[in-house]
Amino acid sequence: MPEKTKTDNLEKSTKRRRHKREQSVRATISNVIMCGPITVWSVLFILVPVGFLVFMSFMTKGPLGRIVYKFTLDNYKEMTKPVYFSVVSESLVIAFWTTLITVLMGYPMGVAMAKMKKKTSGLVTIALMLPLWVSGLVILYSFVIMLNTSGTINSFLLRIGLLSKPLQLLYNRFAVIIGMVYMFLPFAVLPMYSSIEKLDPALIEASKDLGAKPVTTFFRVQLPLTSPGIFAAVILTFIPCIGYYMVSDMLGGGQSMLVGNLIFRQFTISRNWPFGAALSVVLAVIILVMVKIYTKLGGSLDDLAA
Amino acid sequence: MALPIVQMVNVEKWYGNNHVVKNCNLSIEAGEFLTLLGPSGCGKTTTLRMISGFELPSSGVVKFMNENVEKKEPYERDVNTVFQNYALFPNMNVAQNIGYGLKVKKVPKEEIARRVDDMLKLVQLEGFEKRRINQMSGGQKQRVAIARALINQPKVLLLDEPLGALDMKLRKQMQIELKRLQRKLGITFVYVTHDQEEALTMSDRIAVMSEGVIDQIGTPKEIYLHPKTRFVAGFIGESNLYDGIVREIEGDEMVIGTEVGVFPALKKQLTGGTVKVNDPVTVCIRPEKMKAGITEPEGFYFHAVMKEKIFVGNLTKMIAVMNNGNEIRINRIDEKDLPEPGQEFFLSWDTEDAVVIPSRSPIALDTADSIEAAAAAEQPEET
Repeated sequence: MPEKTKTDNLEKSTKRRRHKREQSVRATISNVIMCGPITVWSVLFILVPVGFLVFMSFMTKGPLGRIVYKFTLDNYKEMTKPVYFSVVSESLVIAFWTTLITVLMGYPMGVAMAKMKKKTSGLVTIALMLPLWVSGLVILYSFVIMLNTSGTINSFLLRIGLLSKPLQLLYNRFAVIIGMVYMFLPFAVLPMYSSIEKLDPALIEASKDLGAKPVTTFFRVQLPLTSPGIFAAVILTFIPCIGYYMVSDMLGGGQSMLVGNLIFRQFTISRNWPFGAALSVVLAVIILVMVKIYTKLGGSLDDLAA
Repeated sequence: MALPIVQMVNVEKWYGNNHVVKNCNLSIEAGEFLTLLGPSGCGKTTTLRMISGFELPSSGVVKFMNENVEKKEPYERDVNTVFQNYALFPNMNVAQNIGYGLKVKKVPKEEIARRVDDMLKLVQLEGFEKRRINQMSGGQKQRVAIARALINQPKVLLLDEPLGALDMKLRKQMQIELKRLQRKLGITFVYVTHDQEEALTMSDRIAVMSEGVIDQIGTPKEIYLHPKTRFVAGFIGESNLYDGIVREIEGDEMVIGTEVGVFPALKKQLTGGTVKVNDPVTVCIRPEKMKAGITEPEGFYFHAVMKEKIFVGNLTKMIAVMNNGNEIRINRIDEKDLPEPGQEFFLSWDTEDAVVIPSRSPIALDTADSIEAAAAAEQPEET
């Protein structure tokens, strides 16, 4: 009798195991089907090119912009030259000011949107996103038209007699920052708006109730509790700002060379692909380090996606 | 009598076309536990928020110790609030939350630390100083919220349904603890709840609100035994309510005609005003005062049939039906000598136990018809 139960149990457990295996196989198959296309896509068009980029950054530049497949560290050594330092520092300065201005302008806007009715704030969000649906090129050209020495702003100021000769508004750091702020403001407002909107109004009331004046309440309660949104805004502005070459190309007029422009130039005019690849790799590493700092400080990657 | 600590005089509150608080007159005495009780949407939280300063009255006066404060900001008022969902700052630990009120007033660090310690002791949370808020249970959060509000040593503590999120057992325990705390500190508590049992348990006085109006203010006993309006009688505790009219008044006695029949009542049991013959009234008899006799009682009685008996632990709740179809609720602690379901019995009550409430509005037509019908069909059999 006990013998029989034993074999019975054995049979049952093997059955159960088989059933489990079948289930897991079926789950795997369906997962592969669902994730397959995007995996193939990612491997083909992201992983392989990035791998090739890293590989290329260790290759040698040949004559006429060819790549000679010979290992070298020269591309990275090249970057330590002072001329490139100034490019990096200029990029950081512009990214810093752009981020500062964007966050200072975007936060009050987020506060205002959080106070609106759901319907109104939805319309404002669409209005905010509207410029993103227009080609960046068109936007930047309109900035050129506005800021030119014979442009809209200058001719207006000349006509009303505020100026005797036109101001140099275009082709300097100022113009680049204006353009950058315009491009990144929507990305900065939305995460800040979402964290301000999530803030429980009872917390603000509690602070006032306990005797804190509005300014104290802002710095002790509202600001700390909406900081994830501000972090996200900083990341979403600062990082793309370093690599975004179109603005400084068109509004900076070659006066302000940014890392993005430098890379662009290596792949086009200079035809030095290995050096461009090395610059790209370094830029990517800087960005990864910053994202790491962001998550270390308590930021979440989901906020960035919002 | 001493000066009331908080006074609301002719306070009105409108939200657009919505009249949420109507002519509110309320005097809160120093050191009392006053509860604003009413169903949701009756204006009790708005009333509380006008005391704390989060809402400004549309008209009327709010006074603290004879000083007009209705235009003052919340941070300028000497009151503190325990919020419905605690509203603890998630970016601070327990000690920082409790000490917040002192910190924003720039109290020296050592003093804050000392007073936070005192508060932690008071609410029995010693050793929890460094805890994050999200690591605390509901009951613990509740204690932190109370400690945070009390550290400023307010003259008045406002509590907006503070126990709403707790489970039944914890809620009962906190009710007693809150009451004890209030007695110990001698601070005036103004408490908002929709739970009548909670109000009866804790309050020195209860203000019952309905549709923006304070229907009655009184001790729990007054409110339960002598409800001044039909709403109060129905909202506090269980009751059998019968609309009717005064048929006769003679000396200390009255005869009331209602939809269930005609019966005598006492003039001293009349609440909330005076009545004349033919005035509409509502009679309120609590289920525990109803008598269900198997033998014929003295005085008046009605015939009724037992329909259901429900055992709920400490009570037996019964529903009986009278000959004219009216349902009667009867509660008993013991089950002795009670009719079984289906059995006919004699329904009666002591005239002492029937409260007569004058109606504000004239009686509805169909009710008037059924009163006539009842009077014609079943004359009370007097001995």
